[in-house]
Amino acid sequence: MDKIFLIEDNPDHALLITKGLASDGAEVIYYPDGQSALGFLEKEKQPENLPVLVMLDLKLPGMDGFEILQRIRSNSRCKRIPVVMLTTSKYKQEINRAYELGASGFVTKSEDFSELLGKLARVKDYWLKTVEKPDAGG
Amino acid sequence: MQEAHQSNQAEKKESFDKNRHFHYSILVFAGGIILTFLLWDAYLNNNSQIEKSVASPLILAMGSLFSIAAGLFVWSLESRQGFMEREVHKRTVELENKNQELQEKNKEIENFIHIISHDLKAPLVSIQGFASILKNELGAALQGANLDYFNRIVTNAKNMTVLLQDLLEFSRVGRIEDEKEKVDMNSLFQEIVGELRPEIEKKKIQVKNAGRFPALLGTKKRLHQVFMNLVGNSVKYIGDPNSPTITLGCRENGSFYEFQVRDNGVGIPQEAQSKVFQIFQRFHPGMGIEGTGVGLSIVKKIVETNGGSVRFESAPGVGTTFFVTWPKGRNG
Repeated sequence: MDKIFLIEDNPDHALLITKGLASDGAEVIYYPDGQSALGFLEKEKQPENLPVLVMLDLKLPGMDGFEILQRIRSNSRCKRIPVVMLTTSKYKQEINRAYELGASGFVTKSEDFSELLGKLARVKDYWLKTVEKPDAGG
Repeated sequence: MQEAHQSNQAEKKESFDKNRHFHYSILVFAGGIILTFLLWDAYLNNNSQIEKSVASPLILAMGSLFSIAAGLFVWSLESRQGFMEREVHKRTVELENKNQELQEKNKEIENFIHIISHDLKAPLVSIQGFASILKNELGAALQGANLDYFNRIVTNAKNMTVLLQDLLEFSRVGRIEDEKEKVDMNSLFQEIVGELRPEIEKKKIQVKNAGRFPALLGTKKRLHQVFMNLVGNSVKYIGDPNSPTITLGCRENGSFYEFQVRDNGVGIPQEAQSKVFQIFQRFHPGMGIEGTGVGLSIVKKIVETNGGSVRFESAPGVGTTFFVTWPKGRNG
């Protein structure tokens, strides 16, 4: 089963986003902060245990989304994993900065839940179907 | 080296300015003394011995007294002028500091609005998300009064979302802006009227253009916001006059263009007119028109950020005209 890591400090948002991401073929693993997620990502030696997609909230207490993204992109084991940023705003400067740091996409947390579900489903389908899964050489 | 020289020059000038009253009074006094001696000399050459012995000390004494008096007069004048100049300078510096303080406070408030708008958005995502799940889960079981309560929760959450979006937009004006460009106001008004077309047709409003419009130097997004708010308000508050009409016009006024958005709608109540541009003010609660009361504050902020101004004339039952001035810019 494909793993999707969700790094999100707000447990309510985590629950709502999980509803949009979880399906028969995908398991959502939730981390409330960047430290615990990086603890796994940077140390895991088995590529098949790595997620196929990381959904990362931009505003996190302590280490923020930009810093976590930077750490993921600078680690040889996990630098190829697509990272989609989650945000409540459409702040151009933040979006540009995240893309410069190697973000794979953006999802704005809409107040309209069906709209949010639609966005999450599209993002998940795209990355799970088109992206090369981690392998031994990854 | 050159900087040191310049600062030395500046110090010298400042020192001269400080002692200017002293320098000028000495000059006047010395001038007076020289003049006295010249007069005295001329007198000595032209008069008899007796006249000389009596009058010449008198001339000298009078001349000296006059010189001292003139010197003192200049001293007091210059001292007074210097005092006034120093006072004006002091007050100007104080005013500049206050102005800067105010600008910093404004920036702080805008940043604060920006931050709280984001923070308040997060719980709204949760409320609306879980409400949506609940509705799906309960389905037909949600009915009667419970359905009404539920819908009220959802409507309020939606209203708050709109309010936050407007507040966020208000905080963005002047802080986050695109590059300015020439915006053709003919097509912009066409676009705005097009967007409002369904309501314009429903209310049978006639929209008149009093002539052609110039191109303005600004960003299309902000100009659209300004005139969408004004024309949109005219449409919203047109009421039920005999022949509902909105007239759009523009005239040149020195280095500005002055746009007018005129309607024959319900007008703004007299007692509310001083609060029109204040944030969160709404004046026709009984009309059941949706809105947050942020629109006209955004209009004012955009227009003033771009060097223009906005004002209005309104009479209840007769109509309202908004006047927006916008600088012509370099290319006029």
